[in-house]
Amino acid sequence: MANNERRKKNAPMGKRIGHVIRRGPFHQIIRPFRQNRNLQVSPFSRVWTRFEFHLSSGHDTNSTALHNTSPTMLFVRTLVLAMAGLVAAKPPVEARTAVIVDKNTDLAQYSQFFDDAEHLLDTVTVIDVKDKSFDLFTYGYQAYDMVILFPPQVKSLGPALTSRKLLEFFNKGGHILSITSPEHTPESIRDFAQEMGISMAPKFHKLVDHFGETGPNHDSLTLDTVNSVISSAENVVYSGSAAYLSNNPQLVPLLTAPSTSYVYDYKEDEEDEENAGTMGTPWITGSQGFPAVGFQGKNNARFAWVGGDIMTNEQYTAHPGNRQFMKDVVEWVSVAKNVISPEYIRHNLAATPDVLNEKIYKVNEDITYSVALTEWDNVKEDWVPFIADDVQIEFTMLNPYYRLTLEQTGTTNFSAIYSTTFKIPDQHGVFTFNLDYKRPGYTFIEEKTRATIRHTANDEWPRSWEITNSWVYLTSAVMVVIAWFLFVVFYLFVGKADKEAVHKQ
Amino acid sequence: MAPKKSVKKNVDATLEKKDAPPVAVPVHVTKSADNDNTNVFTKVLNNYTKQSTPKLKLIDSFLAFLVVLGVFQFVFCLLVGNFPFNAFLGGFASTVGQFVLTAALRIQTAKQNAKEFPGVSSERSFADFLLGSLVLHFCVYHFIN
Repeated sequence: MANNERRKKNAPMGKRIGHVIRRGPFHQIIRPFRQNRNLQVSPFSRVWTRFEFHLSSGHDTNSTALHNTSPTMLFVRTLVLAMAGLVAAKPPVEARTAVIVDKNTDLAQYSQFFDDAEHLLDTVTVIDVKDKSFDLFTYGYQAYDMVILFPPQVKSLGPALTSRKLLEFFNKGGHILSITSPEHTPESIRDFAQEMGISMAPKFHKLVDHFGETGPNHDSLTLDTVNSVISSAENVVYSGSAAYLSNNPQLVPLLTAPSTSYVYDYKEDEEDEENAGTMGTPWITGSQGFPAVGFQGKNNARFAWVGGDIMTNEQYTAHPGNRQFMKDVVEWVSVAKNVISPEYIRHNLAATPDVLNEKIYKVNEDITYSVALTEWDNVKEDWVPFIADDVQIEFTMLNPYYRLTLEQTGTTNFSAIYSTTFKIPDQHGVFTFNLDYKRPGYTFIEEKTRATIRHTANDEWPRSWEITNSWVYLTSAVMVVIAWFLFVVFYLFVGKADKEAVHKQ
Repeated sequence: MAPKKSVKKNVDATLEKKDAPPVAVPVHVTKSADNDNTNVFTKVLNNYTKQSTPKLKLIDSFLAFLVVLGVFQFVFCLLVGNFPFNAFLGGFASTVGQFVLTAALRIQTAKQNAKEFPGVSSERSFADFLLGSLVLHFCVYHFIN
């Protein structure tokens, strides 16, 4: 009884949108293959968005926060995708972008923004929030690859853009860019961001700084704390809200508030005549505030939020840094920047570099593991070698026997080769080469390659005469036999003499 | 190895004592009278050389050879390490086993022990010794690999 009740209680818990990443179909970035090199297309065409695999139903939804798929399935899936990419020409998938606006949005204000993003966004559909025919999905599939939510002036985004829908869209691999303003932050966006650990400031809160050149209202901050992994902009002139973040490692702060700044309720401050000018109680202080944040799911879907409208033509003209920053953010969100991928993974015996990816190895052999990492270069519109010095590999059976930093040993036309050679431990079993490369702002790479390690076979041990130490023992054993033989001969002889002597007596 | 050696000497001593009364008492007395200053070990040695049959001496020298070889292997193993452990075990076991078999042969063929083994002739014990040794060396060579 008690169990049944608990199960009933737990059942809706599992279905609840508790985890950002859930088990289920999701998209996989297809590996770059040489066969497709000559196709000069946008990187979106390299992102397979229509390929879905349904894992067996009835998974334990409670334990999905970290391991959203089993490694086997992931590997098999990657393999299947790789095979599909090799065999069939990939369907030309366009980056279908939905730009969500409301009736007050003047898109002409954002012409420069769209100019910059033109080469990234293949098909742009501008949709009014009130449009009732709009849906993110058609027949369960995504109708768009990316959604840009412009600063809305309406209270609610409607039933098509609830936080649940946004989350489903994200979990299926969709990318979301959201811009809000302190006056208007719809609840669905707020809830959606909360799922990722981004706690946006409440309505009518804005970031101010009384130090430095921050404009007459102290709310136009020049931020030089731009995340250099994402953007090359030197500084951003920002006025808007900010959020505080959870310690989720998948969060990527894009902008950090200065240590002398804080976020406060300006509406209350305006209405409260008695204490006018005191600027109220701060909601967040110092560098705990983040005016712009990115988030990357374990399915490599990307989300970015900017808490102030800094991308109008006006802003762009006044502050070129803003333009660069937003350009980079859009590139990042639309998976055109910081996209890395393994071109191939190989393992072989150090002695035989030509025999690749054998299924079985012997204990104590020297083995070489190498991975070729490639990065999408949006300027060249091609894949280029990805250079890093912190690529690591684990050689694991239940727990890691090795965790080694790979060294760059060469480059191909498209990728940098990282490899290491190590001695297989004296332990047989099924081992996994676990490449787990997750760096903030970059595509997550998690590749598990399996190899069986067998023990030394009965006839593979060295014979005793091959070991010099045993020569001593071998010699003595031979000496014992020789001595024994001589002894027997002498014994017989001596015995006869003895008997004769006895007879004579 | 040391205890075995002493056992052997004890055996010798008892043997001497056993056969002393019928034959060797006068010899023993005169000898001891002659060499008062010589120690007990020399006496034992003298008695041994005089009273042992050549066969016993042959057996004993073979035993001594085995002891030396066995001790050498053991010391070598201690100093150098037991890496091909099976080879060490094989080599060492061949000396120990051969020693045991030879000692058994010695006990069974010594005339003084004839009463202890009424049904065992010296030929029979020698045949046992041969068979045992062959089996032993067969095993040792397989074990050394």
